[in-house]
Amino acid sequence: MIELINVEKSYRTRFGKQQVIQPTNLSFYRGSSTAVLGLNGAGKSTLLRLISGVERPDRGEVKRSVTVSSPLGLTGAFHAAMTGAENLKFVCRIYRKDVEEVTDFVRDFAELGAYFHEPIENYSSGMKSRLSFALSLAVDFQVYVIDEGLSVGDAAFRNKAQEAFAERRARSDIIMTSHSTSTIREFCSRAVVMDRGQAVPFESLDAAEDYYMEIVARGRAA
Amino acid sequence: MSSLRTIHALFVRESRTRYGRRSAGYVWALISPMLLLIVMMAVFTAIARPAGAGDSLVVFFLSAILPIFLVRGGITRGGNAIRGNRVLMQYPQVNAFEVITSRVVLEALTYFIVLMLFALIMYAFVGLPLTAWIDRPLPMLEAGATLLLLCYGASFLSSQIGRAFDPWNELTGPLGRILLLTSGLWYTMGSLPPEFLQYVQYNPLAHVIEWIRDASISDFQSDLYNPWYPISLGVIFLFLGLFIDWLYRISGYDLQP
Repeated sequence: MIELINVEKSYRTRFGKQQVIQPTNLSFYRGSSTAVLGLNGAGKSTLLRLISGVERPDRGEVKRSVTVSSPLGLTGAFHAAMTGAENLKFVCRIYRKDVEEVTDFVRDFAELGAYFHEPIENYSSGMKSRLSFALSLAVDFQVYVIDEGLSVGDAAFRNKAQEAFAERRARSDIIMTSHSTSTIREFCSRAVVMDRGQAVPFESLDAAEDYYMEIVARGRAA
Repeated sequence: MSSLRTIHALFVRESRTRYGRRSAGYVWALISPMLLLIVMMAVFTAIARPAGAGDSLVVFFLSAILPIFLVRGGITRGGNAIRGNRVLMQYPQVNAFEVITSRVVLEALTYFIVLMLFALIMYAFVGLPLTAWIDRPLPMLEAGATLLLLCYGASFLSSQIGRAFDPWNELTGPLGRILLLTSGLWYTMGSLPPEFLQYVQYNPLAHVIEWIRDASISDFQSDLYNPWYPISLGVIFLFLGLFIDWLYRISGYDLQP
């Protein structure tokens, strides 16, 4: 279970403090996957980053009784001068995973070929996201946080990624944002709608989508 | 313990990238103190001045050069440790503590090996006996441990100042030069006129180096250093650094990656 208790987050900008997440209470239970809907800049990514622990809230706390991945699609956590293989070893060491097993899986899944032993700085952005995607699958988190992450790579890799997650659903939950309604319908059974930093949880996708459409319509009118 | 595992992982990672990609980069760790050593020896030989303590110019200079390089490196590299590892700190396992600890361990180990290499080179080519490097082992260990503590504390504090205050990295360079000039590279505290000594006394590293020389050079004794000064400063630096880090962690306000 992941619990957000009175969580607040703001960023400093040139125009003063910008409250990105208004005081929020949310819970995510094991066994159900959640979609996060919202307009651009509504705070979706920040919410995901707080959930995964990549960022800490200004106020309140995030309690996790499960292992949570960093937002997939995030590719910054590699050392550019080190090879894919070396970066992989680092991740294995901090998550206490068997290097050989993970290497086998990642080589096969990410399809990097000879680039696996090249420095990350020679990678294309697609290669980087494939590597980070395969790596987080290999670490085997209980909850995967996906920030538009299922849209990495080409069509073939996207299919593969979706299949891998379909298979994972038996033991892992997903908290995701996506602009694709079909992806959300496929993976998620409940949703959180972000509206200017306010998080509204819904137990049914239909109700969440209705509310989201209302926000979209209001955005157009304004 | 998960922290230990992370330190190990960071240590391996740092050791691969510390001197660039090539393992030959580590030669630089030997060459840069050696260059300074050669310059100092050339000057002292040219003006026909003997070592400030003991018979060997090499031992006299290296007993200052290596500690200065260690602490200076700890401060300058510590200054951008948090910024440089921002992306890594997205892993919940990686915090300032692990980053700084792994760096200081790597630096200390590197300079320890450099010291051993110097001792072996001098023994093999000049016939300088290995005993010339060490007089009283126990005080030597104490002084070495104090040096580590000071380096660790200074590095930790520097990392937190650099985290809060961007221009800090412009100041670590000059600070390193001040350290080089006031730590007793070419003098001992006893040889200084009082008007200089009153300033040098404030440099904790000068105390450590005087202590190291007292313990390593057999015919040099000094009672001008105060062992408790560098020890207490090291502890104060460390706690200040830990305190700032704690403030950052509870506030959630930090640099964006």
